[in-house]
Parts: sequence; C-alpha cells; structure tokens
Amino acid sequence: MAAATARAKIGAADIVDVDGLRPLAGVRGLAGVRVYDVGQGDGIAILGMDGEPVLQFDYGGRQGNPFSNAPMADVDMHMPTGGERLLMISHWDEDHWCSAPRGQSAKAARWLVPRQITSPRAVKFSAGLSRISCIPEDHVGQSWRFEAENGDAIWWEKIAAAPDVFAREEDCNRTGVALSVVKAGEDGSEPGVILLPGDAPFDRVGHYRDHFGSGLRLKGLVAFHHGAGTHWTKATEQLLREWSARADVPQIIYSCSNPNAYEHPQTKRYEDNIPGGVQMRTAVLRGQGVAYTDILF
Amino acid sequence: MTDRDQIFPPKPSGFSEARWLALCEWVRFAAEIERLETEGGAQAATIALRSELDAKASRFLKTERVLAERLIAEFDRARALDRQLDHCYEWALRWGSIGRLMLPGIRWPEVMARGYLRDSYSRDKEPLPWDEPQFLPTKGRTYYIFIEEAAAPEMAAAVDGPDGMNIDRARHPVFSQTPIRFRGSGLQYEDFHGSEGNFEILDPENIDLNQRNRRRRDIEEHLGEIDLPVIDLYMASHHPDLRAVRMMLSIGSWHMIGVSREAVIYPECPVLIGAPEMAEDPYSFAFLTYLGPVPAHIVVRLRDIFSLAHIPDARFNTEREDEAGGRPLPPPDGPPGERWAKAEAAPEASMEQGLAEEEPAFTRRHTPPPMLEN
Repeated sequence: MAAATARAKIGAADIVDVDGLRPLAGVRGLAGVRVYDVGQGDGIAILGMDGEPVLQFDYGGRQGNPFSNAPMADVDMHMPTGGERLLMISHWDEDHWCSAPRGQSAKAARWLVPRQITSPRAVKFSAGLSRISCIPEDHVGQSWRFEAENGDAIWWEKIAAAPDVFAREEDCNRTGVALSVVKAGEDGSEPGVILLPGDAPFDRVGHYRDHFGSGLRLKGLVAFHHGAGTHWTKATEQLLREWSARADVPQIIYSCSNPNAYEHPQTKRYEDNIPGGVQMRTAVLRGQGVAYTDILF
Repeated sequence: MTDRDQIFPPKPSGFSEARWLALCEWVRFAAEIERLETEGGAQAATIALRSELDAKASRFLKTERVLAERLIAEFDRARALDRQLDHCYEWALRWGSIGRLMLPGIRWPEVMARGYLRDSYSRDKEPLPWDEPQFLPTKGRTYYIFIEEAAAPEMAAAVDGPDGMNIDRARHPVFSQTPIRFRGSGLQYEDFHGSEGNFEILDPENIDLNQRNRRRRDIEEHLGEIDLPVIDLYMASHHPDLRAVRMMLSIGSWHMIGVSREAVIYPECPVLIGAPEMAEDPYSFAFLTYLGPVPAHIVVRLRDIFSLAHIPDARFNTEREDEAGGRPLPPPDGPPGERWAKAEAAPEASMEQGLAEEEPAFTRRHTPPPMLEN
C-alpha cells in the first residue's frame, strides 16, 4: 500500500518544522532504529539510510548506566545527538533522560517533550536546556509525521492529555509520547513499521492501530516499559498476536539493566503471544563489547 | 517536680504552653480509652469518655479555635472507637516529634504510625487538614518528597541505589528482609521555604511567554545550588502499614518525611538519599522518623514551582510546501474515537471491535489517566 494512500486514509498531518527546525531535512530515507545499551532505561536513535542518527528518542539509562563513571565525552561519542537534530523524550521518568546531564551534546540538541506532571529533578534539569519546547496539549491524541525524502516517516503521538495541576495518581507512562518508524516502500523496498512505544502501553497508541489497519507489516518493536508486565492487558496480547501473524519473525528488543530492580524483562509474555516465533534480544551487550543493537528494515 | 510534670513529658520548644497542655491532655484521654478497651471497658464508659472528649474540645476551642473545630469535625466523622484513637495519635504525630512523647503505657511508634496511616487510607484520598509543623526534628532532616515510583522489588536479586549503582541485597543488612521500595525525589524543608518566596505564582491555565522565561531564570537562580536528591524509602514486605503506605504514596503525590540516622522510631523503614551527580557521597543512609501529608497550600506551591511551566509550547509548521521535509497534509480528521469508528469498517474490523469492547479507554484518550495497575 502506498504511503500516501495510507496517510490519506489515516489522516495524519506532516509537520514540516518544529520551532524552525526541519527534523528530517536532507534525510533520504530511514533505515531502522538503534537501541543503545544504557542500562535500565531507553536511548534510541532513528537511523537514516547511511546509518547516521537522524532523530533521538529518549536519552536515559539509570540502573547500570554504562556512563556512570565515564567522562562526558563518552556519552557524547556513544549516543551522538545535538546540533540541528531533534531529541524527543517519551515521558519524564528519569530513566528516559538521565544520560543527558552526563554529556554535552544532548544538552545542545533541540528537545521536544510532553507536558506532564514530573519530578523536581526533571524540572531542574529541563530548566537548564536552552532549546526545549512542549508538544501543545491541543495536539494530544493526534498522529503527526516527520517525512523523509523517499516517503519514509517517523510517526508520533502524545497519547493522552496532561492531568491538571491538582491531579492525583499521575502515571506519566499514560500521558507520554509514542513513536513509530515507517518504511513506506515508495522506493521499492518492502513496507513495514517499527514500534517505539517508550513506556506507553502500545495497545493505547492510536496510530499503531492505524498502522495495523493499513496493513503494514510489523518489522519489530522495542518492548514497552523495558519488558515490564505493567499495563499489560488482553488488548496488548491481541494486538501482538494478530499483528505478528503478518510478520515473518518480528524482532523485539528490551532495554533494561541486568540485573535490575523490577524483574524486567518478562520475555515469556511476548513469546506466548507471538506463536509464530519471535527474535528477542537485549540491548545490554557491553559484555560483548557492543554498545547498541539495531532493528533494520 | 509537680504532679503535672510526672504525668506529662517536658514541653518541646515550638509549642505554646496552652497548646502543649491541650495536646497532652488529649493524649492522656486516648490512653484511657485504650486502657478501657484493653480491659474490656463497657460501652457506657466509652460513651462517657466521648462526651468528656467533646467537652474538652469545647475548652480547647477557646485557645485553639481553628484547630479545635477541625478536631471536633474529625471526631464527629469517626464512627468507631479505634478511629477515635487513631485521630488522637494522628494529632500528636502531626504536632511534634513523636520520639519525645514517651508517655508510660503507650506503644507510640506502633500505634501512632498505624493509626495515622489507616486514617489516611480510610479518607479515600481526600486532602488531610493539617497545620504546618511547629518545629522540626533537631536531629535529622525533613524533606518534601515527590513520589515517582512504587515498585515492589521483592524478588529482585539486586536493587539500585539513588545513584543508579547496584546494591547487592545479599551483602546489605537493610535488605536482608524482602523490601518494598518507594522512590521519589525532593528537597529539604528549609531549602524550599528559603526559596519559594522568590517564585512568581503562575496560573497553570494562563501563562505567557514572559512568565515562562522568568520562571526558568528563577529555577536556575534559586534552585541551582540546592540539592534535589533521589529519596528511596524502603519498607519490609510484611510491615503492617505497608498497604496503607502504598495507598498513600501514590505516584505524582507530594509528602513530607523526616529522616534521621539516630532515630529508633521506624527502624524497619530505612531511607537512602542521594543522586548520581553526588559522586563523592553517592547516598546517605537514615531511618524514617516521620511520614505525613503536606498542607494543601504548600502542595499548590510545590506543584507550581516544580512544573514544566517554564517550557513554552512548540510552534509547528504544517502548512509550508517543502521538498526536504515532506508534503503537508490536512490535519487529522477528528479525535481518535472517530478514527477507530472508521477503522472498524475496514477488513481488520473484528480486531478493532474486539479491542474496543475490552478497552474502552481507546476511544476516550482525552480523559484523565486511570489509576496505576499493579
């Protein structure tokens, strides 16, 4: 299915620039995603056709962060960002941004973040960023796209509105941002999608359902919430089961420390609900001298 | 030494004489009720005591009008004897360092904590009326803490400290029993009250760009040198107050805690305080001495100052034709619910329909988030 047709059917809007920055300016197409070993947390780059990071999604890593005692240059070298690239975060839990203060390049990037109730530490950190803006709340629940030259696109969506200032029981996993990377197939390659739900339950992401409805093949995903069982519902299982039935063998990467305090990942949940088989692997490969793992189209 | 000195402990600094005497009398009554209950006191005796308590409240009203009105209201709401006791303990707890209130015959650490917590739980999340504490512990520190996580690492082999480094449970005496961790971050009482006056009060529904810029400068200027550590509060998984604490320490809420290295009040509740950026002293170790609500007017200030109000909304350009950035399209044709309705007519309708039935939240994503699933 041609991307333009799918787009028209779904009705997502392209965003050409964010505060004057064109996120995919000069990007020919998208090759996949790179999941960095950051320990417990997420740090994901979306890759251009030459393997270069074109957009960063999360910059975290808490327990078992490999940059804990490293010089600042290390995190800059291993998770390159900054300059005229966009850095988005899924939500404000510290394991999704806390590598940024350990280096320099992320602090120089342009940040696009969800408006949420968050911790004092996140507030203080964000106040030190000179180029940061929030996704307007009137954009919540709608799908938006950054499109590369060949029609490949990064789709994203803030899945729910920020609660008001007096709200209780605020769970920022439920009001964060989820991404997906779509290979459009306009250049003759096979269309497909890679899901990057952050800590959001991926069955609650509207444009994921749109992708499913449009017939896109599931190439892979980064296990939501580091492979946790939190927010796992029957709908989650149904979505996994039915979508993966179209895939050859979807690739699932879980990004969590080993050991960790949360009993992550719960790989059996995925294995049980993807009866056709699944490639599950960890992003924590430092023992093998590897700093990341990729899902490529 | 007078008779009264034998009955009442010395008055801590920060209390007026009248307030301290009233509190002590209140506590003594609580002890008498407890004794009656323990000894199988008759219902009539309980009723008589209740009446006397009300009378005392009336006298109390003359010196502590606002407080006494609240007390009376509290007692009117209390339906069971044990809840009356709880309220007495709660007030004592709120008013002072409970380590100093060692009246004979009362198991203070246990009953006060349990009473207070059960009360918090039973209120079904209504804000608790509370005056500011009149004094702070001379030993230890008091923090305002924002709850970020209520994990249950009962089975995890290794937990991480506030600095992100692994703590080997087998080697750490604190974790020899299965602990439950509540993780938050915050700042010391004195730091907050020393700086909050510098922050403009913002209306969250109506903030202009100048206000956002001023807020950002204020955060950097007035909080830049203040430590905002990660605070990990642990409780044993068998602790009788655990359920109440879980209910109270909900994610996104603010609370006040006291910690001390010397305290023996809650030796089963260790607290680790630190942060990755505090490399030379990754975390300090203390015990919980106090856990309580934050007065509503302070919560408002905390939630205002520690908000993302300093960050402006992004400006998106969705109109311009642009070769490099893609072609513009019309905006989405309605909220997600409408989109699902359309999707249900597609070949994959069976799945969409099934999901919609299971998860009605799919079609009302603009509603506030529901409670965290555990």
